[in-house]
Amino acid sequence: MRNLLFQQRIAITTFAILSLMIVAGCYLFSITLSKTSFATGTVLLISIFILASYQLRKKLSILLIGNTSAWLQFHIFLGLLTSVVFLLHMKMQIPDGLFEFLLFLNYLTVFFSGVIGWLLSRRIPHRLLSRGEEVIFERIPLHRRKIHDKVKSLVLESNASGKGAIPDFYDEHLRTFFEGPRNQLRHILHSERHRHELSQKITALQPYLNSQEQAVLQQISEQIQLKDDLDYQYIFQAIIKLWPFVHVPLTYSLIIFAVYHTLAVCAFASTSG
Amino acid sequence: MTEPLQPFDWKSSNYERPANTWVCGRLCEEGLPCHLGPSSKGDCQVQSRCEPEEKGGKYQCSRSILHGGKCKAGPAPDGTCCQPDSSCQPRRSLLARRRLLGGIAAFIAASLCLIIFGGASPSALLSPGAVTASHAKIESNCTACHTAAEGGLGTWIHIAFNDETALKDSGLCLKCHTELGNEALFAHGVSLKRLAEITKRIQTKDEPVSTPIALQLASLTGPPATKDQLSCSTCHREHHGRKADLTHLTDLQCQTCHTRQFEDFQHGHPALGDYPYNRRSRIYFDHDAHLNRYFVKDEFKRTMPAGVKPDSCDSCHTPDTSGRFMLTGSFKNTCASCHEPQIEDLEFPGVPFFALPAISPQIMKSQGTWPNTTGTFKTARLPQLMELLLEQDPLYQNAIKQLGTVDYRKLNGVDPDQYAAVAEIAWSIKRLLYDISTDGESVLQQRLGNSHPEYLHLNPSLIPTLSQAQQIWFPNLATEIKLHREKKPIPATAANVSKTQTVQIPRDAGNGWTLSESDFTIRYRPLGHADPLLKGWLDQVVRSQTQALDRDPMWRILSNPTASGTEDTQGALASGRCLMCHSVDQNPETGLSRINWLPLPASQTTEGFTQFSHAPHLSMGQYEKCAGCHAFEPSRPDNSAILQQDYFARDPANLFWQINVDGQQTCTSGFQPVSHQTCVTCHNKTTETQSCLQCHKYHAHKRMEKP
Amino acid sequence: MTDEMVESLLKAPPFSKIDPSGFKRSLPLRDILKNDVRIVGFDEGDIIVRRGDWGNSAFFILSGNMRVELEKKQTSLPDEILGRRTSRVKTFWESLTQLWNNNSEPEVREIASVSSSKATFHSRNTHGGTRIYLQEVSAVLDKYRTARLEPGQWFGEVAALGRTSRVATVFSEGVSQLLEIRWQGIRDILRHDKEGSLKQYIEDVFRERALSAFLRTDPLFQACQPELMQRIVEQVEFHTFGNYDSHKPFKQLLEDQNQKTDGREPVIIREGDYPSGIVMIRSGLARISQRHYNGRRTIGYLSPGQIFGLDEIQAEVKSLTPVACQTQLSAIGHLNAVLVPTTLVEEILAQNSSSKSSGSQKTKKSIRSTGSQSVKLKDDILLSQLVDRHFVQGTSLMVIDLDRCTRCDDCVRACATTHDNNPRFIRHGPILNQYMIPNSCLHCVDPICMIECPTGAIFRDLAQGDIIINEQTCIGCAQCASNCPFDAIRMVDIRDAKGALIVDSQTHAPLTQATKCDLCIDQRGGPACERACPHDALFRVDMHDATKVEGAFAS
Repeated sequence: MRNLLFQQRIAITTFAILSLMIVAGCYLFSITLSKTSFATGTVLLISIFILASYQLRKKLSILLIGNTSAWLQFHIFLGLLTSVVFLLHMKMQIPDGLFEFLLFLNYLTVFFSGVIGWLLSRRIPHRLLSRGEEVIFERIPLHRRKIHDKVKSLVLESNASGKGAIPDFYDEHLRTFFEGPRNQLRHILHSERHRHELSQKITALQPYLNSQEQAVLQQISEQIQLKDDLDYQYIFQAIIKLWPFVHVPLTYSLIIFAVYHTLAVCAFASTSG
Repeated sequence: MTEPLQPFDWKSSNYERPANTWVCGRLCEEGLPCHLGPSSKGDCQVQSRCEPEEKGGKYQCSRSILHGGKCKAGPAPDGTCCQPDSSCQPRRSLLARRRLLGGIAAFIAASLCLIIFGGASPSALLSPGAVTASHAKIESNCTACHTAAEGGLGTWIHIAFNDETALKDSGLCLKCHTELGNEALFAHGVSLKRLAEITKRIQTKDEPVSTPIALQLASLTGPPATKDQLSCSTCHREHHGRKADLTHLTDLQCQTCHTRQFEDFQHGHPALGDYPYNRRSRIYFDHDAHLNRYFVKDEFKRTMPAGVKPDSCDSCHTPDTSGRFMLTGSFKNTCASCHEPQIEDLEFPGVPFFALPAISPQIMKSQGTWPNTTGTFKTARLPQLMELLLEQDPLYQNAIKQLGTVDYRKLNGVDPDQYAAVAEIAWSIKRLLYDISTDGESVLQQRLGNSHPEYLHLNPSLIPTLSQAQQIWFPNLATEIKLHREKKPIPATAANVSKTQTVQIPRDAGNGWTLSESDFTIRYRPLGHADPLLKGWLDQVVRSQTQALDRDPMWRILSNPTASGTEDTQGALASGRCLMCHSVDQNPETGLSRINWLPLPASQTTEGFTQFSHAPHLSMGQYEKCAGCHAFEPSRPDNSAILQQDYFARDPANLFWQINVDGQQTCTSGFQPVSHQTCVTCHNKTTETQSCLQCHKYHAHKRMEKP
Repeated sequence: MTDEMVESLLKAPPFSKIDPSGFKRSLPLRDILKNDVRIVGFDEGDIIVRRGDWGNSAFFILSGNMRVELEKKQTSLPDEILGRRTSRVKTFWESLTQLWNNNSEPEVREIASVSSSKATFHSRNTHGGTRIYLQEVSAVLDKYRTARLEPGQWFGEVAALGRTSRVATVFSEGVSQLLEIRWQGIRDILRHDKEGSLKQYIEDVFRERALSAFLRTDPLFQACQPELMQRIVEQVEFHTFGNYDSHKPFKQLLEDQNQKTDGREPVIIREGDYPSGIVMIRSGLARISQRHYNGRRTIGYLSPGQIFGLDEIQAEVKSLTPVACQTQLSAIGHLNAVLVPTTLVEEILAQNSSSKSSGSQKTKKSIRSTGSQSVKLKDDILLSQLVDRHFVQGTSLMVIDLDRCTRCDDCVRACATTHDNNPRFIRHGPILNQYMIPNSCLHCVDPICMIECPTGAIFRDLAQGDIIINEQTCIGCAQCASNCPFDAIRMVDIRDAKGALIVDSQTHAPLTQATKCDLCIDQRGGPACERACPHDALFRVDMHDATKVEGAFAS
């Protein structure tokens, strides 16, 4: 752990030094009346290619080109560094041209989705570990089904006719809960209100049940807990799996935009810098 | 303790393959996946799952343990699987969906790019931002500034790898910006040769300088090569908005190419040298004498306008409309009250242009009329113009030859055998007068045309006065000339008759020409300041023969400090001597000189690396007006003499002035040069008004002189 | 083996000495010989076993002489002479082609290899393939110290029974004939041999040939004088704990987690007893535990080659009074150990301390370190779980730190890429603290999966010791998958290149095969999963390397 902190300190220091060097280099370059946008643009383009090659590295896991974790560290580092270069490239202004604005938005989305993803991947594993059984995301429908089946059989067990306190309660309050992922926003916000509400309802129901039914209800509430935990796992695993859906596809469009931008700029840049 | 959700053993937990493209649709919909899963192409394989085994005509279920073991019901008698058809529509896996989304994003981006760039010429969508207000009119026309805009995508790719593009595009800028001259793309818009000169001059200076660290570091990255042409975009970057400042440059940026680099104006800027006195003023004006003597002592008070002495510089100097230059007040408003009388010089009789020498009647016996018979002629020679006019007369030249050296003062004392020659002189004069009165200007043209054009076209013209003189002095000249040409004797009576008539004719035409009957001389007396005749004559004289000016008798008269007029009269200071104040500048290239009749014309500046504007400085009330910058040299007795040398010098005989035509020499006019420190008191770091562009201009090319 | 050959074998020692009555009726000695034994002929210079190789069989010399190489150090037979090849690893280009050459269908096998495997199943007595031999036997004999093995002697049984690597190279001197017995055969014979003559023989041989070398692997014995060593070798006791081969108790233990686990484990040295000597583990694993309130708390475990009880004896030497054991040592599963009596240990200590005074500091230091040889963890709950669930078996245990893992499945994908698009593990499994132990092969020191494989398709890689399934010989019996206590082996339907299931021609049942992690043995750079993890969450740890284990589970 101490080692990790130490590493981070080195990374932060290196980052600060590098950003300073970039800013200083850019400033010096601007003094010589050179077009700093060309310099920063070149750096950006190369950086984007290097950053994108991280995806390639994942595919080429068989080759001995460094640990992926080292690559990721570098990816994050370089990604954050591009923001400095990007600001310099923008000259701290939002671009006016339509196409450049698109490129700007594209970069921002990719950058911020990356930062958010980075933070999420630091936070969410801990949350996932804190509650519910660790399951494979793709299997969650299967587990949900299993719980639902179990609940349905319990309901039937309580009253074979399908009528009675528990079946009615099930129809009224539980069916929708068990059918799919529920209370997603509440889980994200760490709210447990829905569970308190349900448990209150269950408590309220108990006076009307005989002892056998109460035992069944007890089992059902265990399943409720299980399902709720599963929902919790679902939503957080979904979040951590969904952010690359923004980050990765937009990287492709970013590359295409950036290459076109470079081409246009090289051809037209004699009047703007 | 509730049962865990997932079993781990191989029989009851599915084999997860997250790298696959397809997942079972039933997993997603119902949470009941089949173990087989979809094929790699996304087809449901559930149909091919079970092939019951035939054993002796009976079919047995052959489902493997992996798929749940043999089913209880077993296959149908015909050998088909008993399980209901539970095929599904497989879904893409998360990974595959992300891949698909990536493809879509890339496709959209690519097609968008092609739409924007794909046309034959770029659309406005490509514009990276608005251009400045001054270029707004041509904004929609990309080709106005970009050579790349002339073609489609292919052209750009070609151009993107072409180094010349920037210069080509700069050429497009210059199509409109013709005012930048022919060498606009070279550094500072001056020729390479001139730039080399300036650079050499700066390099030879040996002042200690401390280059700022930023520039030292920046020099490692290499500034633009100044030997080549620079594109406009090196400094002017467009498409940064309507209000963007196209000409903004920082001090460090300005200095990046410079040989001598320094921190800022306050620290390290080279001394200003003699600035702004790197040439003399257009008129010879002794500020020291005026401000410290004339404007101070009471004895001069009476001549001041309304008897009030000027108390500040703005009595004479006011800024022009641009605020840049200080204009000098007009002669009438500033100098006239003291100097008008001097110039008018009422005691000065005038410059003689025509005179009848005194010839005794006995010499002129039977030679017709000769009015001037008594007294002595005042000068040894005839007036300059007369001599020039007679130069072309062979008879006159003959007579002079016979007489040897002619002294017109002693004309009557010649030997009698030379009387004929003297008479011939008289006749020559009469002929001249006759010719002029009959033929006018053409005679002058004929007689002076080749040798002395400066005397032609005198304005006001001499001719009316000469004609008048002829009428007064030689009323019968036509007849006399006629008779003389016929070698007939001229009757003496005719002269007497005419004498009576002359009285009515005015002697002074009011245009400067006077006709004196007392000494039979026609003089020109300057009318005052800006006398047209003298001005015209001087312009012509100076233009062509500045070197010979001191030998010109007329100039000698005008420039003689001791006399205003002829040698024997005590003249006032400077009547008609325009060049006492107005300096003469020789153009070093053409060799032609000109008189600075007017103060510095604003349009006449040449290379302008520096521009100073007086008005803003004057509006800074707290500073002590002009004297704050233009301080006098400490008073010295020879100040005036030193200043004088810059304009003219005495000839060795101390008789007349030699004009100094070198206008470009340093001349402080009695002031101390403006010191760098003086500027720094205001232009420093705290006031933030010390940027290079405050005083200097990049485009220092020679301005087109306005007509 | 033909019946006649079996008969002739039974008439001669050593089999004639074995009482056949002790054997079960279902598995008589005759059948064991018939199934697990073969006679192999060798020519001069043929190498029978190589040092360092993993072997599954023992040899009995019928005729001819063998030469066993004695040197254990640098001067031993070089690899070139032994004709050892480094195992085949994919080239860079081959690795790259996996990107597009991998089958898009899962579990594709070449039908030819599958069908031919059936043919080779019964013909394992023919030792096909090329045999490695020494070119110049006489030169080798001159140059290297060797010992002669004569007819009637066994060799290779130590490695076969201990499922460890061979300790020496043996080659044939002249033409020879050997009896090769698979380890299952020896196991069965040992188990049912009432008189124990074979067992005694094997122990004696071990004592004679390998014990001193084995002891010298520990720093304590390194500097031991030959005379003392000789006495030690003579007096060392051999002990075996636990059932030799059965995986049954092992599985049961796993199934009822709630029970106190060490109650059933045979105790080697009890807490509070005065040790009769130091225990050095030959094979198997041992738990070190300590009394904790009314139960026992696991505080460490021992792997082969490690020593227990030295601290107590050292303390005794210092204080001159007997010191009771502070901890208890018990066997996990089957365990072979040697016990060096206290008196001898004291002698060694005295000898070492005297040599220390004459300047050898090194020994002293290394002796100290033996005390901390056992694997210890700060978190004793985690440790006891690791031990209880037998994860300590693993030589390459996959662990995922769930505090770091983002469940991105990059590891699984990397695994799939290196295995023809088939992931060889599933990212689920038991969770200890924040550590998930996924269902991936641990590559156990004592691989139970290998016990009942009918074709030997699951085997130890000779070079690296990784346990690998040979796809060409796997018949899909699922024995290994069922035996594996870690659910690390999975049965899969195999397919042809077009993705169609390969079915048995008669039963139409889809053919299955066992699959499991092979530690990317044919890949450059080792396990792809570990390198593919972007968050440093997945790591593999050799549970027998104390420092690595402590480092891995430190946080």
